This record gives sequence, structure tokens and C-alpha cells, in this order.
Amino acid sequence: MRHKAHVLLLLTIAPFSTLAKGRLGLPNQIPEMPVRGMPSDDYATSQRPCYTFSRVPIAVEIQHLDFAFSSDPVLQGIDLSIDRGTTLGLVGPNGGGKTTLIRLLLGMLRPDRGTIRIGGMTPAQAVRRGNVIGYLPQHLQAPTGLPLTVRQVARLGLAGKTGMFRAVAADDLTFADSLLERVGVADLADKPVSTLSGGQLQRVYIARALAPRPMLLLLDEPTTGIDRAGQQRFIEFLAGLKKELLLTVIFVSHDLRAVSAICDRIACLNLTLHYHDVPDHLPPDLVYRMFACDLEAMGIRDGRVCMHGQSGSAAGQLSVVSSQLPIIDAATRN
Amino acid sequence: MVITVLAADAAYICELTTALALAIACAVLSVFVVSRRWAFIGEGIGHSGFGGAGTVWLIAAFVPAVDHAVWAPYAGVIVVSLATAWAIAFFTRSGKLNSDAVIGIFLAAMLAWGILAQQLYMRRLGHDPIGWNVFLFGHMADVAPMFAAASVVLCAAVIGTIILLEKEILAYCFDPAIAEASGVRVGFIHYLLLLLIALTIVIGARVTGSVLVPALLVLPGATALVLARRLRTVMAGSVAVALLATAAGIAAGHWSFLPAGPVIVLAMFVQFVLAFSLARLRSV
Repeated sequence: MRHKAHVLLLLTIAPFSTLAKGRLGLPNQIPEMPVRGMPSDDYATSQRPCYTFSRVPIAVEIQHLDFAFSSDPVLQGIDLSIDRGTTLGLVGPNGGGKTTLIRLLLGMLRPDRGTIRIGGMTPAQAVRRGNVIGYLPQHLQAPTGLPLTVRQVARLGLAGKTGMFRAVAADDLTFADSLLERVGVADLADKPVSTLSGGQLQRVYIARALAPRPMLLLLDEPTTGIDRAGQQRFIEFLAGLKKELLLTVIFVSHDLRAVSAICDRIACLNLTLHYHDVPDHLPPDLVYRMFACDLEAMGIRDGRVCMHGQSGSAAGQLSVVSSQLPIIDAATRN
Repeated sequence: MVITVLAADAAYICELTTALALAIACAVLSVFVVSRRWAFIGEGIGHSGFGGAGTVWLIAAFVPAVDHAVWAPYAGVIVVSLATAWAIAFFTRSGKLNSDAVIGIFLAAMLAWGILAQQLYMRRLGHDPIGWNVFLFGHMADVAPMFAAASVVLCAAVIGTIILLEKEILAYCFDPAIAEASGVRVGFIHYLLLLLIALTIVIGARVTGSVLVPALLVLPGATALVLARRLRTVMAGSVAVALLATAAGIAAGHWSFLPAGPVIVLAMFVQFVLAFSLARLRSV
């Protein structure tokens, strides 16, 4: 009789258990991608061919991506490959398609043509796993409504990773709590999240995004509306975090200065991808065309980008000579 | 005196069980309804329940078998409540109207449909549908033990669901967009919560009537949120408000000429005003 009861119980639960994480046959480890070379876009080819001979798996791979809202094209022919552990700055004018690309990466939109792979998975698969992508949106949701503490909000990030009807793993909870310390809000852990300032709220939301230990972190205009000092603090904070947690970061911004201080590579997006992995300069005329302004007027002089990933040459990044931002070169980065 | 009465009066126990179980279920859900700003959705679904009963009455006017099935109007309430919830989401997603307007449209249309169906039934069969005013205004006398059992099962289902899916529901109610981006099945959670709301409306239609039942899904949570700052305290406060008001309303309905439903809602309202005043005094 008891045995029958157990069988009945299992049969009742079985349909629900298929909803639980880890039962869908999805890989538990992000697969190692083979070594590959990839030519960059046409603009760069016309200057000098650039190949990524990277030995780490590719975190994000976008091929021949097209997207339009009804008849209004937003993205055309996007080819982009992001190495694991690097930071990509995605810049471009308003309306250029940056946020749309983020939404495509999150599986909120479907491409009209082309493919997107995140750690070898489609965006929908990556999102469903719950521990592949962390997302900080452009407009932070003001916490009106549920009276949650800071600790509870950070732990919300684990809801997708842990399956339905399963309790969150203890070490995940410990990690989420340690993230609060890392982002600098540990002393506010038991305070209602509605009492926080904007900057503190952003940090809590970053902790929420990182709680499931994602491979990829998407930051959509995180420094917009923040003053220069706040931007500086954010950049330093993010630099430390990504090093410690081995994150791949996509940093979307229309502010070239904020991006250039932290990113390994810059992709300029305005309907099409205008620049990626160009070996030497961030061309002044490109910036001018994109932003209708002058590099020098933005405080960027002698912009220099080194080739990346090639053995034997100094891996570096865009050097920004500016009174506000530090010069970050190969030596100080490592 | 109350204890003596409880021991002696089985009908009263039935009424009390039905109402108190419903009160707990509504109180727990109301915290999420208020935090998701679904008060108006609750209103729309509540009134659409009357439209659901009306649909069944219209069928019953032509099919006698349906007329004799006591459970049929309740089934109609559930089906149409869920269909309305789906339709509200569908029309809102189309982007041409915001949800306020869509809910207002369905609220009015469903109420009108219920009243029209009642009139058509009356014309065809010469009498009102059995229990039609019960669906509008509630009626606690003669509540069957089966109904009390259903109310208790509903309460257990609501509490069980909240416990089992606590992290998903909290993630969804706090920020649905981020919850979706982090892998929570927000569509499932959304319609599950609406299903639970529709079920409380089925039971609540008998206790307070479908006109007033949305108040049970708003007032307890709103009262608790005004005073308390921690989720557990808010939940406990919401349940306390609902139980107190419901016990008062059922007692008034059983022992006096007053109808239970309006007394319950007004008792909740009084508690809300007191809580709000207390919160203001505290902050001064």
C-alpha cells in the first residue's frame, strides 16, 4: 500500500520534475570551443587583416545577424566573436542597435537572419540554464512593491539557476552573500531595498546578476546619468570584479570615455558593425562619423589599440590620454 | 458565548471554515496582487466571474441538464475568469492599448453580459437562475460542507504553491523582466498566480459576492504593506487583518440581519485606515 502511494506520488510529481533544471539534457559544462581564426569585418580588412588566434573558448559568437522591427532595419550583417574572459565595449549612437543586440543575446527577441551562440548555446538555452548570462538593464527598476531586504534581492538572481520545486544550494547562498561584501553593500544586507540610494541599488542589482556565477555579464549603459567621479568608481569596481570572477563582459555605452578605460576591445555599432579588432587606431574619422564630434574634443588623443591575442606581441588595449581617466596599458592591466 | 455557539452550531462552523480558509488564501495572494499592481486586474477577473456564471445560465436556459448541475456556474466562473486573464494579457501585449483600458473594457463587458444572460434566462424559463444574486452579493447561509472542504483545499493549494515556488514568485513579483532574463519561467508563474486568483474568486463569490471579492485580494495586503517592512511580517499582518475582518463579518452575518460580505470588506477598510494613521503617526 505504501509502495503504491510512493509510486502514485512519483507519477504526480514526474510531470513537474521535467520542469526542473538539469533534466532537460542541457550540458552542465560550457563546451570547449576549438581554436579558430576569424577575419574581422570589412573595414578592418581594408586596413589590415586581424585574426583572433585565441586559445580560450569563445563566449559569444554572432554570425550574419539581421534584425528589423517590422520594416525598420535595426541590425544588418552583424558578425561578432567575443573571447571568453575579455571585455567588449559596445558603443554607438542612440538608436544604433546596441540595446536591441542585448535583447537578442537575452533571447527576448529572435533574429530575422543569422545565428547567435553563447557558450555554444542558443540565447534561449543559455537563459533557461540561469547561470550563463547576468544582466544589468539600463533603467533600474525602483523597488516599489515587495518589501525585500538587500540580501533577499541579491538571492533572487539564483531563482532561475535552481530549478522549480528545488531549494537553492547552500554554497550558492553563501556566494550571493559574499557578493554583497564584494560590491560594498554588506552592511546594508538586512535593510529594506527601498531605502537605498541609486548607486547602492545598482550595486545590489549587480550582485543579483552575478549571484548565479554567470559566464557573461551584460551591462547596458551602467554609467549613464552618473557623474564623472561615480563613473570612475564604477569602472574601478568593475575591473576588480571581472578579474576576480573571470567574467566576460559586454559593456554597452554611448560614452566612449567610460568604455575605453576598461574594455579590451571595442565594437562600434550603428546598424552595422563598423569596427572591431582593428589593430591600430580607433580612427578619428570613424568616431566623428558615428558621434559627429571630434576625438580630441572628447579628450582622447593618440588613441592606440594593440593587436590582441597574438602570441609574441604585447596584448594591450585602448590607451586614453585624458586628465580624467588613468592611462591603462599592458603593464598596469596585468 | 462564542465558544458555546461554535460547539453547538454546525452550520456556523461550516460558514466560518469556508470564510476563514478563503481569507487566508486571499490575504497571502493580496501581498503579490498589490506589489504587482494587479488590484484592477483582480477587479476585472472578479467581475468576469459573473460573466462566466451568466454564460452557464444562458446554456442552462436551453439545456435542462446544465440547469440542474449545481457546480456548473462555478465551472463557468473559473473558465471565463482564466479566459479574461488571458485576453487582458493578449490585448495588452498587442501594444495598442495599455492594460488599464483593456481591463476596464472586459470588466464592464463581462458584467453586462452576466446581467443580460440573467434576463434572457428569466425570459425563457420565467424565473431567475438559481442563486444568481448569490454570485453578485454572496450568501453565507446554507453553505454546504463540500463547499467548506473546497475552500480549505484552495487555501492549502495557495499556501503550498507559495511555499514550493517561493523564489520564482518573489523574483517575478519583484522584477519580471530580470526574472525572465535569469531563467525563471515567468509565463508559467504569471498564469499560475492568475489561476489561484480565479479560484479564490470562485469561492469568494459565495462569501462576499463577485462585486466585493476583489477587495479581499487588495485590502489585507495593502494594510500590511503600509505598516510592515519585512516580507514575513507583511504576510503575517495580511493574514491577521483578513482573519479578523472575516470573523467579524461572518459573526455579523450569522447573528444579525447584516450581510457578511459588506461587513467583511468594511472591517478591512477600517483596519486599513487605522494602519495608515498609525504609519503616519510613526513617521512624524
